Amino acid sequence: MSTASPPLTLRERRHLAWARAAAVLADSLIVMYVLWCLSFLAGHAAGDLGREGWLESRAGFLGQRPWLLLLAPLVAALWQITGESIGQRLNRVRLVDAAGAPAGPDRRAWRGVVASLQTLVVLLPAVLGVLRERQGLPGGFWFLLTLLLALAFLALGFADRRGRGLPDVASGTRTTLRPLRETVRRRPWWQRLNAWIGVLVVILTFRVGFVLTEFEPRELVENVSDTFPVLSRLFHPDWSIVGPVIEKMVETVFLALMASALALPFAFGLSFLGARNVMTKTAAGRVVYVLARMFMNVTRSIEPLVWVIIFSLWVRVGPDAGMLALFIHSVAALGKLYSESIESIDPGPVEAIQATGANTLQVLRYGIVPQVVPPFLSFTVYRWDINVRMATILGLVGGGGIGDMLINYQRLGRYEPLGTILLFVTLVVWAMDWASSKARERLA
Amino acid sequence: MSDAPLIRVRGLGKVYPNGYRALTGIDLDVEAGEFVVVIGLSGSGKSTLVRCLNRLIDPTEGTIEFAGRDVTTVRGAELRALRREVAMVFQQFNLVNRATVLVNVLTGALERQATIPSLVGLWRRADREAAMEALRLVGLEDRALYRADALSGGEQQRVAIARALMQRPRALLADEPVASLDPATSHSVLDYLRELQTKQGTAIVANLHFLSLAREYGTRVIALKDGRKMFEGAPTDITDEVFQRIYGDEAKQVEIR
Repeated sequence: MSTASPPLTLRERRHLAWARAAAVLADSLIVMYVLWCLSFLAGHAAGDLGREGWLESRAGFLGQRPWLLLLAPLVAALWQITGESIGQRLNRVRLVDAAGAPAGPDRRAWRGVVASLQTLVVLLPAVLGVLRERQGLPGGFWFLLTLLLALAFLALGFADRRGRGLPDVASGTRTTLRPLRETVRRRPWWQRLNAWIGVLVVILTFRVGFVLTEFEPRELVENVSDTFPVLSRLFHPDWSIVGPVIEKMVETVFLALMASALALPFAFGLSFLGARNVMTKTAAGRVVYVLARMFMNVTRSIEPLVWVIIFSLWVRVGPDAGMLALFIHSVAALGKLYSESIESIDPGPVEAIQATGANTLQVLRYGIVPQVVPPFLSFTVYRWDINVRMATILGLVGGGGIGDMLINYQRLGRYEPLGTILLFVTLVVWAMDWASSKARERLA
Repeated sequence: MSDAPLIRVRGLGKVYPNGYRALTGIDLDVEAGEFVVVIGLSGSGKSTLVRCLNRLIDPTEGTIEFAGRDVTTVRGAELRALRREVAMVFQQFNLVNRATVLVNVLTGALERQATIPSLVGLWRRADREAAMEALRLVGLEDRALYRADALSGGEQQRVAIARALMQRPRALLADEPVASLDPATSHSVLDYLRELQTKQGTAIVANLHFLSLAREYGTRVIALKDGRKMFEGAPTDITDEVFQRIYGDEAKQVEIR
């Protein structure tokens, strides 16, 4: 290794500066989260979480002084002089001196001082904003200034030939990206700061989680005897309604089948538009790719139950609303899975078909399609299986199928027929699950 | 034919988008009926060079002419017509594994097919017969209806050659065609390429790992080092001194027979 580090390309510098920024952001978020947990638990202990919610009732020390959250970046800056904060580890950022050896304690101390000063400068507008807010002025503008300052310091890293930021230049350190395969010498976990912070985060998360979900393990034991009469009625199914239940069950399975089958061609077309290796060769292709991905991600993140609500306004309540809800969600979910299998194909045959002089459609047909048929079929069968399971509850919000019946008997408190329904749902879902896994085994 | 070479490369260079320079200032002429072998270490630019010749990779500098036509600027139908005339075989064979051997060979005829019939698998009778003929030439007519991935490596490469034959090429590029095969199979595959060269006058440009194979099959040898041409001559001109310059001081010659 030579002593002077080689100049980096702009691309490498950009990469490095963003990795450093991401490390600071990650560490700051961790510190903020810990602060919020502590404040929340303090508020809970003091009993002032209030009926209107913890944000409204300004519970905990953050409720009184929310600006304390601004301390987090400062703590993060200090944490980072260890060179192995969680954010730095996650982003593979490594702190070295100019020669490339691990930075010594004096350099680290200097870096901490300069980094804290830099953080203070960045935070100055935000602090000013908080102070002025007391006089009733909006603070958004000041936070924007802080963001711009942070970006300006980030850009300094692009300008330096070795991709160093201000704290690096001042303290003679350098940040590099740790190679993926480099093995890291690790101390046992109890000697590592990160491990203890991890333990703290887990403990705090569970404490806050128990409060928020109002979960008391003791309830499970205390009230168990009250449920016995109802449970026993569930286990004495009412056989007189088997006929209607079977009718509804058939409707449910067909509802799921139609949704999956109709989704297949749409998802097929969409998946090519959303596959990176197919679309990102031209600028127009990249635009279509981003749009297709966005459509799939947004549509998929809305659950079928919510889609039923939308479609029941459109086509009225009934199995058609449930079918459309499952259909649109399946298009997005299948499209995403299909695109991913297109992205993971072997590029060799594609290249070979291209080399014969085939046009784009012919390359898709012979280079890509044969490779993705088995995963596509497998995903579709799996989707049908999932859709049957979903279809059993769509009736709860007016989407037809067995769920319709289920919710009615539950509301009437008639647990014997409810038991019959649950039995059939369990049988059908189990059978679908078994059949679909068998079918997928054969397809693999 | 005029006196211009079939393939004429001048000052060819390639810099990849990530800034890596793979080729610099390559000049190369290939006549019809020649068997040009490209040798060099891994990463010396061999694959990039042959992929520039049919534009699977777009060169960033220099010019390539094929039969007097400019290769570097053609697009669309013209580019596809060019690729039809410059067939290619690959190290990993790159067959469509889930299709039959016959369909794999027929894909060599895609360029002259109308799009819609080709997408639904309606092949012309003449093409089917040509495909069977190509399979007969590589001795695999009895395998026509097998799935491609049911064949051994050597057989798969012969199917790939049949697919190339189907294109009725004037030149054939081979990127490490035998690097995944055992020595005996290597010879049989290279013999088919040599038959193409001598009987049909197809120009062959092949990347090969083994110098012994280069000596046996090449009518001319090009050596690349760090993306530059550092040797060009008859196979017999590769002395020990030249060998050391190509492969470095620590290299030893490995024979493959």
